[in-house]
Amino acid sequence: MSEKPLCLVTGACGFMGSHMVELLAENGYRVRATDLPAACEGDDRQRGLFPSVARKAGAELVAADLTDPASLEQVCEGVQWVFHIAGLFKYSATWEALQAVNQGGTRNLLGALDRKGDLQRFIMWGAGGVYGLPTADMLPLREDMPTNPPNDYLRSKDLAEKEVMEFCDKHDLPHAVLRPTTVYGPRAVYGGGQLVMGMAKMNPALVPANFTARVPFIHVRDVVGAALHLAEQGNGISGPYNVNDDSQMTQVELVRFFAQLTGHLFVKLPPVPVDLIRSGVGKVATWVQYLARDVLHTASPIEADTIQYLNRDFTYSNEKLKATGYRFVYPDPRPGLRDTLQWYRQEGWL
Amino acid sequence: MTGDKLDYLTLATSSNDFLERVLREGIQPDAEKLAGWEFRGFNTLTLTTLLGFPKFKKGFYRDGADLRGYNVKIKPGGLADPWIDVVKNGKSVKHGFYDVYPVRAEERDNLYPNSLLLNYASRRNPAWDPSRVLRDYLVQPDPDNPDLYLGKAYLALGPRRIFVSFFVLERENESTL
Repeated sequence: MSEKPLCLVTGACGFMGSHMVELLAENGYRVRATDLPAACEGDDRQRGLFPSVARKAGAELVAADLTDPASLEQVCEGVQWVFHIAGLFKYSATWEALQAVNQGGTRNLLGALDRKGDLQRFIMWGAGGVYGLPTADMLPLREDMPTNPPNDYLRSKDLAEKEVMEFCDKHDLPHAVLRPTTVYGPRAVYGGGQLVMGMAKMNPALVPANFTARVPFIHVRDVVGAALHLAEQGNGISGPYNVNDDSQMTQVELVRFFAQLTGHLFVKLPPVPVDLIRSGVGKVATWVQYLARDVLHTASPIEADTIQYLNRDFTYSNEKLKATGYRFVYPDPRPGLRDTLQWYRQEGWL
Repeated sequence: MTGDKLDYLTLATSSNDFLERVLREGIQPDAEKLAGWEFRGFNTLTLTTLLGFPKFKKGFYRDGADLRGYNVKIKPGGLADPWIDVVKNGKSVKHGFYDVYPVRAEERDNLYPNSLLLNYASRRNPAWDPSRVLRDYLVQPDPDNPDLYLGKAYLALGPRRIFVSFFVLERENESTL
């Protein structure tokens, strides 16, 4: 039997990277895991870093920096399949930092791989938000729709996606750009992790009655599962793939669900003026972020761009992914959210 | 819904409209599969959380040829927490006893002919016990899964029947009665 391809996972010590490494190792792939030198040193829950997972999985852990092309040469040696997860996922980061890591880093990685000449598959982590803030007539969001990134983070991801698709089309390489939505699961610290932990702490669980926008979800196991599935499809894959489960849970339903999970009291509040809140809080948040980031040079306690997602209705088509034969482990987020909550509790995160 | 098999979490967190459909389509539980077991239960009504009893256990036992049952008090918590019996004098607290039999068309409590009736007007409950006004209908949603049940509770106030809550049961442990 021939040896399985050597897989490179970038951002391998982070939330999704660590799950990708685990899945590849479970399936007998040879794995080279890479992340920033500081990320490879030791587990750091606050920063969402788990290098111990890669070590435990038996992966070869090599430190590198996407913004330093020289450091990528050794990392890319002999690599056949790439799972490019690394990126700067921070809405309050500066455009310069976002572009340097997300677009520039991706370009550097592609350049190094091009020089080695062994690349057979490239699976990239894009972002489900690149379509922009949708209006009702745009839903469900499909991969053939134009992108319209509404903030700097998503603009940098959009540019990185285009770098990958252009490179792979030019070299006739099977590739996929994953567009995951709200990713949750064990070890999630940011995004979906904040959401799960925040909901679990809310007591009583309060929600305005008009928070009826739907929240898109995907379990991390399905993100990495879809990535491996697509890589294994070979020549049949190309372009972006929405990675989103089958659910269409509203925010009211979500808050009620967490109240049922935790035993907290669920209270539906009178409707609130959402547009006014988005505009008012958005302006305050912009000022707070400016003061923190650009004047005081500290981490901003609030991310202004995220305010625009308040009660914004999102649904995604997952037909393109399903057409490849992928079957979701968690088509309904409820069991996955419960398991994630229990994981946080077992690990003492909650 | 996803079209997948029904499970405890799905039922416990679904809307009343959905549960009503499941209740109507369910089959009558096999008494033999209930007898001798306790089932972890969850009331879907939010008010039960406020009142402190969203969670409970229901036990079933044979009394000669008849099937009877009881409720077990459980420490408050959510679906993500374990079901832990409230213990008094070294024993779990059992209350709210009921008689179990297939719904009888000629009786007042005949709303769901496909169900078993849990009738709390049982001689095991004292005359002053408020639980005597409860009437529960119980069905098995999935014919292939005798470990999962859906119930609907009513208050019987004279000839009137007032809907209280749906509840879900899943097999937990052998009866401790």
